[in-house]
Amino acid sequence: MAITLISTVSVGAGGASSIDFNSIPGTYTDLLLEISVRSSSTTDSMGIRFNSNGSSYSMRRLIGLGSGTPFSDAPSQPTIYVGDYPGTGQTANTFGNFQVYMPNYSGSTYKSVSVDAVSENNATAAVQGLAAGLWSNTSAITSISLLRIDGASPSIAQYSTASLYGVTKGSSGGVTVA
Amino acid sequence: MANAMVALANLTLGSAQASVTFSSIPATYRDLRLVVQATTSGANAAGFTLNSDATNANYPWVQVFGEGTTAVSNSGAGASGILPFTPNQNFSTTVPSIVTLDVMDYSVTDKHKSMLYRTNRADAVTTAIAARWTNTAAVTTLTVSAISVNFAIGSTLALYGIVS
Repeated sequence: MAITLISTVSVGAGGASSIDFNSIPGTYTDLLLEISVRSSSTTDSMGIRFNSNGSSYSMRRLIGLGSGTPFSDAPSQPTIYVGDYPGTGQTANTFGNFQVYMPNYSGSTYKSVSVDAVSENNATAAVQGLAAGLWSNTSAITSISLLRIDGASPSIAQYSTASLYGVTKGSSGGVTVA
Repeated sequence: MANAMVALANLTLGSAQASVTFSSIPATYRDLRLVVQATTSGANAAGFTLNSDATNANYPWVQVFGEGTTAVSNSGAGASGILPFTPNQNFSTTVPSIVTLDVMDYSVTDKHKSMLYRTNRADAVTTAIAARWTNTAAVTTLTVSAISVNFAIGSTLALYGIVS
């Protein structure tokens, strides 16, 4: 089958200051990361960092805030934006939920990333985000860290989770391609 | 999730070419998922057709996109005989575009085919599109094409079947 669970991180009591996946094998075609996080402090923005490298990231974002006009920007950060997540100022027990798709993560070209994100809140103010990200580095991705978008350590609350999947291309069913 | 997605076919381009066609797609699955990562030999549009239908009017779409300054939503139809991946941006010669496309209920014959897709080019745009193929035929062929340019060597295309 085309999708394989590589690893799941579940944040326990006391929270966490990052979520990390290390020693990612290069045996898959693409990576898919599913994230559900809440802050134990104030609401924040989360970023993804590869191979502990804090440079050469670029992105385009599209953000809706529950009211008003959506906006688009291209922030320069030491990570790629993956979403906003609620904290002490938002509805209890709500989480930010993000999906990050990383094709050809083990190849020798620059690494592109596709992000879809929503932040729950039982109020008008909530966040939906889309992002296109690029890590201008030809190294294979072997580790992933989820940090604050500015690269600082986040305050991740208990019951937050992140699951990393490997997607494998292949051939079956008699489909031809040319 | 582990058994829900089946790899059907894939191609990594060893030479530049203007189009890639997935043929003989069986009706075995519920949905189709296409993943493309590509650059092109020149800055121009890229997109796709279903069952070789190149009639622009048969591909209405609505999109929301951000280019780093403003957020825009608009609608339109196919152009140059394809349903474009990014109606407001070209593919790049240097920065790869990523496309993740879902074709829902692709094999049923009692409804038009609905599609949702995301296209990203990190130096230019992030786009979300809902589109429709105004035809009730089962999808058996999906062709990805660049207009007047070629997909570059190393571009990758993969098709998956989603099991209900």
